Formats: sequence, structure tokens, C-alpha cells
Amino acid sequence: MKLNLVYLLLVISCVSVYAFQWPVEDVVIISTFGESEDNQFVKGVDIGGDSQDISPIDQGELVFYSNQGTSPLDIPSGLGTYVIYQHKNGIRSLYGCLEAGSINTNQKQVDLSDTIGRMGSTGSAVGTMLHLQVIDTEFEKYINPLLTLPLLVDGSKPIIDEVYLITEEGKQVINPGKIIKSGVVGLSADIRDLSYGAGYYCPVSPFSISLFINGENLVNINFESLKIKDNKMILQELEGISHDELYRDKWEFYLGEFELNPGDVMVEISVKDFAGNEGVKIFPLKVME
Amino acid sequence: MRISVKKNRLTENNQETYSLKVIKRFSVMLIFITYFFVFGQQLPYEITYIPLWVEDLKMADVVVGNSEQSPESFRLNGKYGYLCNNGEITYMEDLLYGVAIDGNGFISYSRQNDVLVIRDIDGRFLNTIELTGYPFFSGDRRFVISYDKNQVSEINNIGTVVWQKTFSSSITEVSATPSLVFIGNVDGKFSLIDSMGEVAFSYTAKTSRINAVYGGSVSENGDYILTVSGIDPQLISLWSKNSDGYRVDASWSIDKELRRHAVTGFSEDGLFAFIEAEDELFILEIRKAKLNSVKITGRLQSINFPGSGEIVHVTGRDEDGLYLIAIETSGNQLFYTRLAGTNSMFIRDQNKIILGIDNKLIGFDMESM
Repeated sequence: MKLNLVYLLLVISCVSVYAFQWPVEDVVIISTFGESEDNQFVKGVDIGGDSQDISPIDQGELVFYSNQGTSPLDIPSGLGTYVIYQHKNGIRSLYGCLEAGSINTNQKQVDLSDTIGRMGSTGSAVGTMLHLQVIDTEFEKYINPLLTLPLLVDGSKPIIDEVYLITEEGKQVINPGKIIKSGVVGLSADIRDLSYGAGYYCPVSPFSISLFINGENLVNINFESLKIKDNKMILQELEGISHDELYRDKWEFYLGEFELNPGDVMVEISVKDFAGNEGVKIFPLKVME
Repeated sequence: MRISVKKNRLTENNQETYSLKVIKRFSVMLIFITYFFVFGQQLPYEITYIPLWVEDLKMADVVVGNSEQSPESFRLNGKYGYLCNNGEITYMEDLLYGVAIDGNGFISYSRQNDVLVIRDIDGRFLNTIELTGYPFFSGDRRFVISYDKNQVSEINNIGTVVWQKTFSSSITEVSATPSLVFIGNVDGKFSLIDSMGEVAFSYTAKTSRINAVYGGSVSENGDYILTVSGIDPQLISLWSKNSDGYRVDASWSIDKELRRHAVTGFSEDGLFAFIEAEDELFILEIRKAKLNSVKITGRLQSINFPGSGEIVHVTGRDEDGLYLIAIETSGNQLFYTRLAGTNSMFIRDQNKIILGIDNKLIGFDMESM
């Protein structure tokens, strides 16, 4: 309950700080912030669906643009045709994978109602999409765009599939009531949320993952921001989790190593999406000497 | 001073060596048309471009590994490969999505790759790179830039990562010499990375209303850095090496600011540098810290800049199509001509020139007096 309140306050405070607008009319989220893609964290959100005109998330000024294929002397870019705008309070937004030639580079100052480009499939995009990033240049970090945009009403809750116990003997699925040996074990879980608006099975990353053992909150992973630390992109500034530390597979999240003492142990995993929907999996374990 | 256009030169010189090939491909007319279209004008400089051969990429014979000369890499109109300055193509493939290519080999890549394959100039398998991103060759070195342009990795000859740098904003420039790599970022930071992956120098510009690096490069000997950065003002800065790293020697404010990548580089002799701006190409005389301007339009497609006393050749593309310009290092324009096509390339090796326009490659001898 206390955690839920903190979470709600966090979301409300972030939304009130930025309060931008969605860059497209029909929002279909196909990848979320912090998701694993190409062995990297996704640094924004990907919006799919049919091609639409794009407006800036806020008033701003053009900082940089790249029109794919206009000069062989440019460096290659998976962002394809893209634009970056500067907004107030040191915030920048990036719009990638746009339709070639659709960006308006003559207009330096843009307003909320202006069209700045059109969703496309340039760069590494395999379908029509918009890759949106929100960057805080003052604190040199990427912010989850969902924290800055109007809340989407999402009815589905995240799914926790298999939970794994990782020991020296290997990885095994944990079932409720499972008898395991005491000692230090690793835990990981297959977790996914369902896309907002896709209308088909499209898994995306959740917004937060928490782990409780015997009621004690041992892990909180929040997909709020990404920052560089020791030449690595890390999630969460304080604890700092790199991509390779968090992901064992596209949807398998490593939750850490824990010492399990003999007796009855209750493991609870709670996963929330950005709209606050919660998926929970609780399973008792019997830990033997 | 004039450019001498000698109509009968083609049939007078070396007929046996090239005319059979040209006639065989029914391209004599194309040579003459190109010759007069490109060079058939009086110019204040005595240079003679003698067309030697023409090759049509659609019909070209490929003689794999059969050349006595060291071939040059090319990428033109959806094809890439290697060719000699006599027009002999030693390797050619259709472009999948992109290619990183230089005189040592190439990596052809598709839109998304889990593994990149390094091949030699004859297309033979050398190694694989297990990284996602797009390959990029510069300064005889191989890099992979992550799709989101936040990470750059240098790859060695056996395909392993030598070093990897992750940045907190998009990379706008990667430009290398054999010993240093210039990396620019959209947050206004630029770094020089040495061959071991250590940061030799870094700087974050905070002097403009909007900070960003639009382009930059480092000279072959590492003595100079050139940067294009910021909005309001936008500055071209020449940095020179000192005991503490680098300091700004001279800087110029650009009137017509650009907000995209600016192609920059140094001449082969290291005495000059060039900067692609909006509707302008600047030529910088480094020792005099003097900036000369040449009017260009659209985007640069290629630039060949040997250095002092030599002609600079530039191809570009704007809304009206392709053009070719020859200029002196002073910025004096020797000639300007439109080329009928949409893709171009330009290779010069001493007095041998290869001009590519869409599917046609045309070889010239350049004589200057």
C-alpha cells in the first residue's frame, strides 16, 4: 500500500513537471522505455500503426535533423530520418524512423499544432513507426517518455510467466511448493506487458518490477530514466543496472541473488505497467538444509 | 589560362588500349557527350581532362582478383565493389541496405543484423562481428555504430571489439585517422579517442544558446581539430595541440547556421581543411587561419582534396540534381557543371580520375599546365 502511494506520487509529480502532448493522434505503443532491443535498452518508446503526421510534444526549436540518404558522407544511422527539438527546462525530444523527405527543416521554431514529419520506416525500422525519445540535457539522462505524456488508459495487466531459480546446477522453473536447497540462489522471471492499442499480441516491457521475500521488499526496478555510468547505460541512477545485468533474454529479467535459509519462504513478484495495472505472482517454497 | 578541349584527343592517344573496350560497349557517344558537357567550356585554368574509358555498371564484366593494380573501392547507384583506374572492375555486388567499404575490404549489411561479415576486396570471408548496429569505416579503421547512435565500437581485423564508448546523447560525427577518432555528440560534447580506446581529449561546448556538435575531424598528425558547433552562435573552430591538450586557435561565426551534419575534413597534405556549411563550402588555410568560401547548394556527395597547389573536386546534389565543381584552394572556382543523374562518386589517384554518374563510370587523365 505504502509502495503504491509512493509510486502514484512519483507518476503524478513527473507528469506535472513535464506535461507534454502525444506527437500522434492514434497511439499504438509497440516498444517501451528500457525494453531490450539489439542488446541495448530502448531509450524511448516506439509508436506503430498506420503512418500519421507528427507534431512536437511541446513548443520548441529545431536542434538537429538528418534526412536519410542525402549524403554518402554522413555516418550510418538506425534512426533513419530524424529530428531533435529543444524545449524548455533543458528537455529535448527526438523523433526517429520518419518517412524520408517528410521533415520540415525550414521551420526552426515549432508550435504544438505544427507538423514536423510523418511516421516512416527509415533506419533500422522494420515497419512504419515513430521512435520517440525525451532527453533531459541538464541531468544528461533519457527519461521514459510515458512520464511526460498524458496517461493512457490501459485495461490489461502485466503477465508474469515462468520464474526461474538459478543455481550452480543450472536454471530451473520454480513452481509453488517446490522444495529447494538452502544457500545463495539467483532469481529471474519471464515478464511482459501487453502493448497499448496494438489490437494484437505485442509484448512490451513493464514500468516497474518488485520482488518481496517473506514480505521484505528486496528489489525495485523502475523504468524511469537511463543514464551513463562508467561507460555503460544504466537504468536507475542510484543502484544502476546495466542492460546485461538485467536481461538474460528479451523478456527474462534477472532479479538478483538471494540467500535462502531453511524453512518456509514466500516469494512475491509484483509487476506494474505505466497505467498502474498490477500483475502479481506469489509462490511458497520449502527450503531444506 | 584556359582549359583545353581537344576534340580529337580521344582518337589520337592510346587508341589501342581503350577504344576497343569503349566501342565494344557502344559508349563512344556517351564519352563525347560527357566530355563536352562537363569540360567543354573556357576556364581560367589550364587543365585538360582526357576521357579514356567508360564502363556501364549494368553490363560490366567483373574480373575477380585478376588485377595487377590495387583497386579503389566504389559505391554508386545501388552497387558497390572495387575497380582499377583503367576501368577494370575486380569485384561488384548489389547493395542490400548499406555497405562500409575501403581499400582493405567491406561489410555489406541489411536493415537489421545480428552478425556482420567482414570480407576482403575480392569478397572472400575474413571474419564476423557479433554486434548489432551499422558498420562504418574511416581512417583505415572499422567501427560499428549502434542503431540508436549512442554507442560506437572499434573492431579489429579478427572481428573483436577493441573498445566501446557509450554516450548520453546521439552521436553526430565519427571521423578517424590511424591514431585518433573524433566523436561528436548532439549535446555539444566532442571526444578524441586514441587507438587503445582512452579519451585523449574531450570538451563540451557551452558557449552557444543551443549546444550541439554538427561536425568535426582531426588532422592525420593529430595536431589540429576542426569543429562545427552550436546555434546562436554557430562556430567553426580550429583547435591546435598544446601541452594541456588542445586549445582554440581561431573560430568563425557562421551567418547561415546549419542544423544537420556538416561534412568536414583535412586535405591529404594536412595544410588545409574543409567545412560543408549551408549553401557554402569553406576552405581553411590552416597556417594563415584564413577561411575561403565557395558557393555550393544541397549536400556534398564527394570531395577530393589533395592539398597545396592542387585542384579540389567536389560533387554535390541539390533539388535540381548533381553537379561537379573544381576549385582552387583559394576558393576560386575553376568550373561548375551540372551532371545528368542522381548519384555520383569521384575518385582521383594522381592524374587518374574516375567520375561515376548513376550507372556509368568514366575514366579521365587529368593534365594541368
